[in-house]
Amino acid sequence: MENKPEKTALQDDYAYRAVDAYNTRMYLLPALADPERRAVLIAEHRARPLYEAAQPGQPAPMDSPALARLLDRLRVVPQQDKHVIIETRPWEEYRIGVLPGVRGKAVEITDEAYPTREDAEHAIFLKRLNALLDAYGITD
Amino acid sequence: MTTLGITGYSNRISVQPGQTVQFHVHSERNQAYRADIVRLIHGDTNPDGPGYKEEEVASCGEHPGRHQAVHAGSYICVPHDARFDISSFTLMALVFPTTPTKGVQGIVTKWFGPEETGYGLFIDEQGELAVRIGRGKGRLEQLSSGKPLFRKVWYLVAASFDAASGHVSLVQEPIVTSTNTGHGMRFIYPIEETRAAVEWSGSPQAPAANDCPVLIAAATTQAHSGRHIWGGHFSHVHSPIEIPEHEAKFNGRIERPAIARRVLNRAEIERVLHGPRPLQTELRPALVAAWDFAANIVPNAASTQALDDSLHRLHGHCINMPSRGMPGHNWTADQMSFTAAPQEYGAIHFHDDAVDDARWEVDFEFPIPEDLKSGVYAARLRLGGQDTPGNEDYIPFFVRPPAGRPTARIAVIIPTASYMAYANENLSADSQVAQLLTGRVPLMQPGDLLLQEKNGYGYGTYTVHSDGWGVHISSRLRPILNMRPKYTHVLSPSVWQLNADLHLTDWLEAMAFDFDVHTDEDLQREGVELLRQYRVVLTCHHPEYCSEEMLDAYEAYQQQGGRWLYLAANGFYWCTVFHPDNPALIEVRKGDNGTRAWTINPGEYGNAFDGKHGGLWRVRGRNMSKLTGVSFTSFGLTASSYYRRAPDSFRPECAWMFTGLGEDEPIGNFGLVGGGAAGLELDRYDLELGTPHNAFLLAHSEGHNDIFVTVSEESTFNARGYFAAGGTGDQNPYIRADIVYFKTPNDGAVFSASSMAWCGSLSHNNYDNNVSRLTANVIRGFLQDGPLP
Repeated sequence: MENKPEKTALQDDYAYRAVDAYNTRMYLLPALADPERRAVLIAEHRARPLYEAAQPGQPAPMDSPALARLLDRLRVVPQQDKHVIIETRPWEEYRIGVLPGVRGKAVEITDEAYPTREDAEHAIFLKRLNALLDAYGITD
Repeated sequence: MTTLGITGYSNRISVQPGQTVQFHVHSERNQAYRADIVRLIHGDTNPDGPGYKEEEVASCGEHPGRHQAVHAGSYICVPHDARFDISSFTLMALVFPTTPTKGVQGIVTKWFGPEETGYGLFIDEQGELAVRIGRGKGRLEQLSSGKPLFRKVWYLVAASFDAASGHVSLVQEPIVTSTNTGHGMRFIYPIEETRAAVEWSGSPQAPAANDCPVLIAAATTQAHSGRHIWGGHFSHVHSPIEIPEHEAKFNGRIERPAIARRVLNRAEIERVLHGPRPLQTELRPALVAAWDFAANIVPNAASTQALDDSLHRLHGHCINMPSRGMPGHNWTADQMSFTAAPQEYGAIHFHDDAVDDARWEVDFEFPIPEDLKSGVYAARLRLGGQDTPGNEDYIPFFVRPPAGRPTARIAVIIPTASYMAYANENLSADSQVAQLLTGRVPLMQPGDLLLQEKNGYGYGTYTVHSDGWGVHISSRLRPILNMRPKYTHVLSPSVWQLNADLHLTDWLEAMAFDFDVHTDEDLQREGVELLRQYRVVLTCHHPEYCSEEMLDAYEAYQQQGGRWLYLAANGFYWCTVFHPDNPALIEVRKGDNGTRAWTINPGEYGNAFDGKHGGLWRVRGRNMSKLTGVSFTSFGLTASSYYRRAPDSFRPECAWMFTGLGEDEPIGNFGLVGGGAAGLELDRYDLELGTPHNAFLLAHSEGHNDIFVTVSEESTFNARGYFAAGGTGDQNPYIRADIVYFKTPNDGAVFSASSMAWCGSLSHNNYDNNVSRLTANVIRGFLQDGPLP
């Protein structure tokens, strides 16, 4: 619209983003800013990218609280440019796809391919993690 | 190509020998394809299980293949009539736009876009009210209000044109009450930001006539699409009527649209839009048409006929199933159903992505041979005969035994209403939250990629329309791309619905249990008489969507001594209504309670298709536990778990089911759905929710991980911890599946597995395992004549 007035902070949903950023800085980044603690989380995810079935006499396999908190955050990143797994050859090849964020447009299918869903899951975890670190200026 | 290049649907989903099923096929790049009829045996391609199995039954030959588009978007079509060829006019309506900034949208139009002829009331590119007077290409006059229309606000809108003087006037008047916007604003201040009354002197020349229909909520881009409506949900249309191709698709509500053949003054406009109906006699001669959407919405709002209250009776036809019986500009919230106060529910809500029927040409058909075994079948389509992903699709259908002649003592009821409810949910691309429910990144297959590119082919009840309103009507007369063998579902670590139900039918076949299949549509139509033909009836893994007639049939079957296995969880949950004139359409209003994909907006509780309260059966006093003994309690669309035997399983009435199972043996710590028999969604007994007083607890699951949460209908408020909504599988004892058994009158019985993953464990270890053994023991015991142990 011509001469459209600038959005107010309220119309721009400023507070949601502000609180999300606060939560991220206070509770998520401390575990990520330290390269050693970060490496532990990455290694945990690499070892078991997906939940596995519970077995009798054992606790149900679950993520550590720190990894669970990180995964919950990474799973809800906005749909635009969000990574998905594309099944190009069932049980043989899984590519990384990029969502357009709106209906009616094609999903971009990249050349990045993995032999299992687990491998593709971990690759996407790393991409999302790196994007989060970049957004908060953690570069080491 | 990775994106699916061929797809289609069938006219029937359930057929008997002697009937013919027709297939409507779309070939994305106009490539030729081969069609074969196959019997689907096992659809899960997981190499850890039996693997994919099908059997070729018949060839349907090679076909040239053609591109067939879906013309989505609901609107009303009023066929061309010379009485619409007018010089001066007033166009008026009450409107509630829900995407006013989404581009040009027609409100009331007799407009032919390519040639710019005719007239119409629109929302323009800037989201403002506009009137168009078209006299041929490049000779279009358009006057806009200059003020934006706000989302979710009711307006009186009107435009007048005097062909003698060329005078044009436009009115955009917001109407806001405490209730009529639903979740919209209560007041607008300053109101001048959206109120407008504009006058303009244009050319004194009538708009050019065209042969387009009058469209409400759209405009015409092709007057003749070659597609027609008649019969079915257009039961009032007895011979085919051609519909147009449309554009300028409107999102939101329209009420009382009208066309006058002269300039009406403001008082006259107000009388048409707010005055009593039928119309006052002195105004009638001025009106070409004045539609009244409240006129035929009692006892239900299922009609696709939009009645004209003028002297001309130029009735319209609702294409692509817009939502009827919706709160109007005068909605007070005093009555929550259109049946109680139809005059306050005179709005129709239109959606630019709604589809009632793809209306594709028929490509081929298959007459069902007299000796074809009852079971699950599909037309297999292969581009160039190739079976590679993207080149192959399946159109499933179900073959019943000949009428009145069952061929087995076991019936499997295929939950086609649930398949329709879950149709084309597009959650992998659309849902920001789905990954929290599943604990993983979605996997997209060729059909998902096509669905995303095609903007849904019409959606199902798990998503929202483009304006944010929940999808409450679903059709099977269009491709349902998640109702396929070989399909991995976003809501499961592996399979869901049809492809998961093949776990059950494959196991029955492997175990040499003869069975017939029937669908929800058949049960809806034939009731308990269908079930009475069988000693044992089985559900599939997730019969979540159930009509009142289906519930009645199952209840009667139980009372009459039927023996029933509920090999599922979260069954019989949502009030589901088949369209009274066309079972290819269902309606589900998700209410404001329940584990749901969306929440109903104020005043929209009433099912259009039957006029009754929509939402959970629980809300209508028919919680699933009255039927199954168990109630939906938890879900975690992730890794599964296993069961432990409970003390009742050792009682003499029950122990026979556990023959061959050890006392301390965990049950189902294996399987193709999340690696265990207890998973996805879980049910538990609850004596306060109608579980029969003499029911037995045979087993319960344990060990559910922290993705599992409780159902929202049992949370009155959120809280962290133990019993609460925030309590996850590792701390909340309500998160479990209970295997429950109870007897019913006349030697009937019910066995409820209470997990959606149960059937996924049946094939483990070449079908030799304790889930298989327990299920087979129950079926064999139930098949015996005489009293139960």
